[in-house]
Amino acid sequence: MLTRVWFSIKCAAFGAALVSTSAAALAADIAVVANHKFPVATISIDDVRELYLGKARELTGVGVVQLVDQPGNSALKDEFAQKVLDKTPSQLNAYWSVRIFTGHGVPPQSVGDENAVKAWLAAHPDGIAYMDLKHVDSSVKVLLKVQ
Amino acid sequence: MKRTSRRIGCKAFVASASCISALVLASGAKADDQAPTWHGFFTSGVAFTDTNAGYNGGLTKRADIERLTHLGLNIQKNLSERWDFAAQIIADSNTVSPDWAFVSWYPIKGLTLRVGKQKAPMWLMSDHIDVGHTYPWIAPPEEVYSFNPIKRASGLGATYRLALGGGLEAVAEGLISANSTDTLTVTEGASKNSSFQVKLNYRRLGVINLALGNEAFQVRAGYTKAAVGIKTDFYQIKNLNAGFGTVGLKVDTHGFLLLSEYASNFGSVDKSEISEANANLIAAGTTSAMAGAKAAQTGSPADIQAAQTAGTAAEAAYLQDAAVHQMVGARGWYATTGYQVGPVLPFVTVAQTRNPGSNHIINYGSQDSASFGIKYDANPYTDLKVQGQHVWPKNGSRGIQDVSTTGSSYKQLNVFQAAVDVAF
Repeated sequence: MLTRVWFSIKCAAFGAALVSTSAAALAADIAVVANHKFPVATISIDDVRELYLGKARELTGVGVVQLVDQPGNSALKDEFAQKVLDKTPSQLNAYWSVRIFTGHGVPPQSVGDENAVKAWLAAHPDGIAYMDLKHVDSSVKVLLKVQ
Repeated sequence: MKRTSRRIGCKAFVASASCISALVLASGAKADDQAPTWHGFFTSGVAFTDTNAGYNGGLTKRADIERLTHLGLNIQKNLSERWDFAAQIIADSNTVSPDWAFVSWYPIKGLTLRVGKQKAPMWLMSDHIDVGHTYPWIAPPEEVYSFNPIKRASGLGATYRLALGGGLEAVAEGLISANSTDTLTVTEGASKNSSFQVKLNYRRLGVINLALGNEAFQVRAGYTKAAVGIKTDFYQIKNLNAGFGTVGLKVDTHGFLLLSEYASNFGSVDKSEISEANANLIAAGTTSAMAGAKAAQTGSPADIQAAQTAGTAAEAAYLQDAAVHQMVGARGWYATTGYQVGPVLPFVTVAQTRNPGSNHIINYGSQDSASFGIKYDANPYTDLKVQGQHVWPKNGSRGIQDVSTTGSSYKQLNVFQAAVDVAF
């Protein structure tokens, strides 16, 4: 009897940990980052949205900005779309279909995992990217945090 | 009138884009290190009605795959920080042809200028009307999208976007063209043999479109004006003063979808063109009737061929007459609403077109329709659609049905369609 109770408690705890871990993965804090030479220290969420939806290609005080995205099957990309771009993955795909097939731009390229993003930022002083906040280190400058 | 293919001036297409690209690169502007990007779209499907009378350009009980099948290929390239090049070709069952090609320049924040062949931004879906993946229907409602022949033009386009904060934006988009041509292959009538080339010439074209809203809600209004010339092997209309006005609404939030547009013709045409069209219609109709009767009597191949030729000429004359009358006062609207549940979007559409223009023989273009459709997102790049539509012609008028060659009245009908759209 006690064994069964103890087994049930362990299962419940495991389940709770699993749920909380999944929830944490879905609710990652997102950092919009840039090279340390990037001319401004902060950026608004509106500006990030306009850049990543291809509605603007320059920032006031900066000029033309280069962008990189996360890989297409990335959970972080879906979360960025929901929190920053205010679009579901399906809506974002439909949005870019309209822009592509009217000749008004293509989605930002992706370069790979966070290490590849950091390497790209090091080579592009005019570039911005986003990543999970936990992957931010001294090689990049945080322009915006999104929780 | 069903458009089955189109050709544009290849020389203008290549010359304008190549020249501007060369100027940009010669100016020493730094080219981006991105390679050109390729994308494409593909649609295939089947459509049929429950009647042998033709609808919307030859659609009958016979399953038609050709009208819903086409492939598009798109290339875009950053030429420099502020210059891009984009081009698209489209292929259907008959031809492969350039769709558009232009160079874009982004001189200041919010402003884009484009030179080259561009889609005219007249309605909500005009500039991506061939890309089924971008809207819920199998094709945009014909009550609005069928009565404007102006699809694309070579000229100068501009977009100015003003961010108002909180995701809200105001966008002004325009296109002007001094002189532009387009060629359509028209299939009109229940007979698949009735097809001919229509050469369109637009002069002094101006399009303006204003939009306000955000990703969830947008209102839009537009106006187009042009002097249009139409030439076929059977007739010529020298000068139609075309004018179209539109207002539209789009709501797409939390699964709820609402799309609605109202469009109206404000054009005018010389009385001499109307008189000529009336006379041509009477003459061609009489010739066709006599040739048809003779073919039915003799059954000879030569008489049958002559009847088919006369029939095509009669249908062309009908289009000529319809064109001069529909330039004044034709109007239409539709409203589509749906609710997305997971990957499935069921939606309903009601639509109406009215054309008070008529001659003493035919009452044009008035019909109501209601349709129900389902769009299923199989994956982010593929959707499947089915759609059923009921059409009510009003007061015996033709609506968007093809001209009756048997003299019978225009009746209610049902249209059934299914399609798959892929974007890659």
